Formats: sequence, C-alpha cells, structure tokens
Amino acid sequence: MPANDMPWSWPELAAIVLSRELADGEVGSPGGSRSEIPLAAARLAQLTRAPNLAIITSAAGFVANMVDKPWSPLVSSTMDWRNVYAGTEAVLPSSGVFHTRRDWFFAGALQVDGHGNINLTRVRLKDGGEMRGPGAAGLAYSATMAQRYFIYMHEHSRRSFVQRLDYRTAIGFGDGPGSREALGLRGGGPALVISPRGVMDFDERTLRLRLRSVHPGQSVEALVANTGCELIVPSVVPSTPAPSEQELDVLRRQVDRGGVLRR
Amino acid sequence: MTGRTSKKADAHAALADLRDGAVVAIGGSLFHNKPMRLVREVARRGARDLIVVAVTQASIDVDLLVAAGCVAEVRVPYLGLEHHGLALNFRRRAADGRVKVWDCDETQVIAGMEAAAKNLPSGWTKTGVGTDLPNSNPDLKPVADPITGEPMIAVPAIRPDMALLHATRGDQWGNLAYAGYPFSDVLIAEATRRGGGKVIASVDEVVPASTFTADPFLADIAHILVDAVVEAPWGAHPCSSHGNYQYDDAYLAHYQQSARDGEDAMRRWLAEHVHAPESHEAYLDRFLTPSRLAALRRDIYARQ
Repeated sequence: MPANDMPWSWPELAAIVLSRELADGEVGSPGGSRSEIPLAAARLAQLTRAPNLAIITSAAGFVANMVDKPWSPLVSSTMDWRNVYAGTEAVLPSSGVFHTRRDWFFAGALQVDGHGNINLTRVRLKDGGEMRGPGAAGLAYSATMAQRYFIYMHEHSRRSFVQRLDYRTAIGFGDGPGSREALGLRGGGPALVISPRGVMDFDERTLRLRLRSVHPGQSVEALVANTGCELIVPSVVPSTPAPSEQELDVLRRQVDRGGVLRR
Repeated sequence: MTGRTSKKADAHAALADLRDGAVVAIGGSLFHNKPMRLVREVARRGARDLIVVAVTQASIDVDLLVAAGCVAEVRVPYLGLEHHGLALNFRRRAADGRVKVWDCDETQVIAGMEAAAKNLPSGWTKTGVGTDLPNSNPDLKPVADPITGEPMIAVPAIRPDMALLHATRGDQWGNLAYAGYPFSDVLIAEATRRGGGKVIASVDEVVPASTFTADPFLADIAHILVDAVVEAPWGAHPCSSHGNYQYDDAYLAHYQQSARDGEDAMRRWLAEHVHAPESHEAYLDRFLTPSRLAALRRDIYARQ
C-alpha cells in the first residue's frame, strides 16, 4: 500500500468517497472484504445527503436506516449482532433476500481487469502453485442482477489490476461493449473502482477502466506504473475531493466512534 | 394409544447414521449459528470423505472439519474467517489437491437446494453466466431457457444426507426457534428432508413443548422437518448463537494462529479442543469461564 500521511486513513477515505456515490431513496447491500468500509459508507450517506437510503445487510435480510436512531458501533464481522440490528426496522425472510431489489452493492476482489470483471476464487502464484481466495460468496449473482456496483481494492499493484484474470468469478463488462447484452444480464455492471491510490470508472463507449481521480498525496505516474491492465488516462486527472470537515466529523462521531476504520 | 416419540438425542446417537462419503449441509452463516458442538462430534468420530455444503457462508465449521481430515469436497460459496483472514487449513489442502473444490455462488447452491426441496432434478439461475464458474465446475451446466433462448445455468439438485443446524431453542418434538436470523436453515432442512436425509439440530436450550403451542408463530422450523434435537448449551461456541450470545473472538484468533503455524500446530489444537474433552460439558468447563460467558452475552441488542 502506498504511504498515506493524510489526516485520514485509507478505509476512512474509501468510506467517504463511496458514500458520495449513493443516492437518496436507493436500496443496497454493503459487503465484500472489510465490509465495515461499505457499511460505514452507507450509514454516512444516510446521515449526510441520502436520508431515505435503505441498507439490506448482505445475505441476511436486515433492512436498516440510521437516521434519528441511537448510535451503534461499527464492527468488522458483517453479520455481527451489533451491525445487523443497528437501525433495523424490518427483517426480510431468507427466501426473499436475494431477489429483493438492489440498486447497488460492493465487491472486494483478489484481481480486477480492465473491464471490471473480478476474481475472488484463485490466483496463480509465481512458483506454479495457486492461492485460494474466499470464493464467489454472492457476487456472481449480484454482478448479474444489481443495478450497479462498486469495487474496492485494498491493493493497487500489477498483481491486483491485471490484463487477464486467473479466474473470472463475477462478470463486469465481460469482453467489452455488447457482452452483458448478449448474455441477457440484468444489472448495469460496475460503476466504479476505488483503491488506495485513486478512483476509476468506465469509459461509456469502450467500457474500459478509466482514471477518474488520484487521491491527495498520490501521483498519476505511480498509479499508472502499478496498474497491470489497460487504463484510460485523461490528459487532466483531478485530485479526489478530500473528505470535508463535515464528512469526517459525522464519520468519526456518529458512524465509527470506535475507530474500526482507523485500525 | 401409543405415546409420541421424543426427538431428543445425545450428539453421539444423533450422528450414528453418518457414513463416510456423505453429503453434509451445515447451517448458519460466517461466525453465526454454526452447530459447532455437532461439528466437533463429527471430527471426533473420524468421519471421512464428506462432501460439505454451506448454503451461504462458512468459516471455522468447515475449516475445522477440513483440518481434521474429514472432508473430500467443499461446496461452499464463501469460506473464510472474515476479519481473521482466509481459511488456512482449507487453503493448504485445496492447494495440494487433498480437498476438492466445487466452485459456486450462493444463489447456485440455493438453486440446487430449492430443486431438492421441490423434488426437481435441477434448479435454474442466471448466476454464473459469462464467468468461469461453469468451466471449473462441470456440475454447473450452461443451458438456454426454452421459452426465450437466453443463457442460464442449471444446477443439479443438492440432496444432503445429513443437515447440521444450530437453533436457540427447541422442544422434544423437534420444533426450532431462532432468537436471531435463521439464515438459510429452513431451506437446508426442506432440501435435506425432501431428499430422505436426516436433519440434526443442536439447541442452546430444550424448552417445554408448551412454549411452542403458546405461540405457534415462534417456531422458525416445524418439527416435521427435524429428526433429532441435541441439547447443547453454548453449542455454537466459538461461533455466535445469533441473538443469544456473541462469537468468541479471542478463541477464533487462537484457532487462526494455530492454522497459521501449520499442520502440526493444528493437530495439537484439534487434540486439545476436539479430541481431549470427553463430553460437551467437559469442553465447556475447559474453554469457557463464567466471566467469558458473561462477556459473550454482552453487546446483544435484545438485552439492551
């Protein structure tokens, strides 16, 4: 991970940047590796700009909104009792959890490619062996059906941003324009990729990964040098808007008092 | 008139039918509602070549059985120890081929389980279209929907020979109630029973049958889907009994450290935690103290 001497941690920055992507009135599920990041993003959005946002806890059916609710701690284990009951107003039966509408969800990955396809299954090692990942969980499904999704990568290197995945666990834009349509996929595909170095989205015409901004303190050159897949780099790359005082204040005082995101 | 038959059983008797090579479904998800008392009993029995299925997510339950050498094949959509890291015993044995992996997504396992529950040959899903899942797992068949022609995936019915569940409360007839989320336990019970398998549930507490008749909406799983109820106070430990007590993070960290230290360390861990305690009571006395139990009961929303 690149050095970060900013007055916020990488998980805090990720939570804040991702929270800005969530719109009022939407329904979505935080998940992925270090699921406290998207959970914090969704709660932060509810408490700042999207008070009508609904969170459905991962593969369990807890429907939550934190507006005007008592403070509740943010903890690492996705379905920790304290996480799933915070702000919960209703519980969906397990038989309905998967087909209930999702405007967005989050995915972590071992590898991502230039069309936003992701690998959570296995990675080939240099010595010829392979490293097993955690598996698809429900991401092959969500990537097929949800309106859009956000990929958060804890490592931004040529090993994690690759030209060719060792295994395609969940489909993004497949092989490019037309892929999702040909397969009859429902959702709109990946909307954004965030890493400790910057924020990427997808070019509307080619559906290729495109650099949208670099985080404060990071450089375009280092980001490009550490990207193994094709990446569209516009002539001018802005800096990721820094967390505002209000965002950091709400995040630290209402969402993550215990500092899980600073560990 | 003859009396009704109680389904209360001790763990040893409840698992007597478990044969090597069986398809075993484990309920709960991640660190929650895992029937760990039953899982330890399976390992103690030295079961071999099991095909282990989890409908959503697994953690120490499956990793422990893998470490104990009980497992030939893993059909689990997510197998990991969340904030403690990857499932290392599984990773080791999958890497050298000692354990076969049936790659899958949660909704594919659900499709297979729903097919079994409905007594159909296969379940269809959109999940996996355009991915490597049907390439690495030949049981997942790419098919065309006969109505529209659009690409789908067919999953063969998954019919467990045995299901292991953990509920908060149960009665002697087999009715089960969950204080927290039942996750996919209802589907597991339906799929297992419909296919002729046995559903074994551990419960923190066996309560009088009048508890259920007083409120027929209390039962999440009806007795007609359950074969045996095993009383096991704190029986999900070190996982949570969702809504009743928390997972034991320090214990899980110790497990993960042993997994990290390698197979010898894991053998010692299994000897100490699985094989040495002669009974569930001996396990509780050895690894849980009153202050630890009090801590596990803290932070439970229902009590606040």
